[in-house]
Amino acid sequence: MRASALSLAILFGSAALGTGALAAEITYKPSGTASPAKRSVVLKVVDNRPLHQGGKEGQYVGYRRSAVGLKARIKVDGPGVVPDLARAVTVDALGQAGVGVSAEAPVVLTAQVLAFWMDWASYELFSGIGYRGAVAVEYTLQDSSGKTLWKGLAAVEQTYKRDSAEKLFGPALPRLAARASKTFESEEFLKAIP
Amino acid sequence: MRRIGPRSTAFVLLLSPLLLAVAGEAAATKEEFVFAALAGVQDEEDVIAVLARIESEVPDSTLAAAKVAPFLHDERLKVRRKAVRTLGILPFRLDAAALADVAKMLASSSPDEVTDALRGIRWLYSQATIPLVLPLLGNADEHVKREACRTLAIVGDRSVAEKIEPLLKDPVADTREDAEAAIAQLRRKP
Repeated sequence: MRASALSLAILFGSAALGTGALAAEITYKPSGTASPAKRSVVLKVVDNRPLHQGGKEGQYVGYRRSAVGLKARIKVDGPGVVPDLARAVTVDALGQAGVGVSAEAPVVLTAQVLAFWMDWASYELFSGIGYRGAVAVEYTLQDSSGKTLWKGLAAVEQTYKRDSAEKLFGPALPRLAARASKTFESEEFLKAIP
Repeated sequence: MRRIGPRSTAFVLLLSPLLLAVAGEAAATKEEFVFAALAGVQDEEDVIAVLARIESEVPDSTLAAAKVAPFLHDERLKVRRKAVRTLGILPFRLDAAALADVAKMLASSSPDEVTDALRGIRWLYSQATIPLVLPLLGNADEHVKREACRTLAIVGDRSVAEKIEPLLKDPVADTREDAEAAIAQLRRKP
């Protein structure tokens, strides 16, 4: 009886130690390679993540796992962080494609953040828990009447060997910008902007 | 504090094309190295290991998809499953041949193959996959239904939401939760 109680205490103790909430400071540094803007769009950013992955509480960006699999959430400094990061990535990507952002532009580009989340992906005996994150932004270009002129998606998956959101999302965001930029350089997108 | 003089600036400017060329060469060499490994392997586990290397080492390679896509119709189930997951994270536009392979995987009798195909096509964002995914909302397997919801939430538009609604009454709580999340995402789309 005493042995069972001790085992349970150790189990819960180790779980509690491993599941403390983790604060993360994710930043994005623009590439600084903007081309001269020949066209421009109004940019609207919406956090539209799944309800249980930041959709209900926008300050959360993933789970960290304890050695026994119990989870604790990884949080950033407020619900505006993820949309702000998506905006920074999108402005950078548009700039690389020669598209500026202006409140006076004749078309609206809506960037919907559909995924910005990390969780464990693997467990190795010596290296421990490995993590995988995904960031996906859907872009919809509409004219002033609301007619959809073009749609596209930029998404990346990134892995890291620890639960560091900075180390996982840090490299993911420039990759996302590069993919978004390729999308914005497409003839279909550029032709749709008057 | 030491200032950077015009001579140092000129030196860096002269050197930068060389450094960029070396970096480009290194990236090309890495790609070639991984692709060469793929060309020589036969064993199932080895093929899967090289596909995993493509995923982790050269995920942004524009040449990788052409190397991976032929494995979508490999006769070995595990290889197909890994191939579709790998293809899903590469920069790739789903062409007719790959779409036909994906359609076969989505019609597989193996729930594992179907769920991996659903995960794989999610980021490829092809509207042509929507009619292939919709029937899976009525699949007997809980995980297939849940992955179908998650994929439609990305690929679909507002009109798809009503197709998911019947799953709000699914007996499995996790399926209901994924259905609710997908519908909420789809309804918030422009």
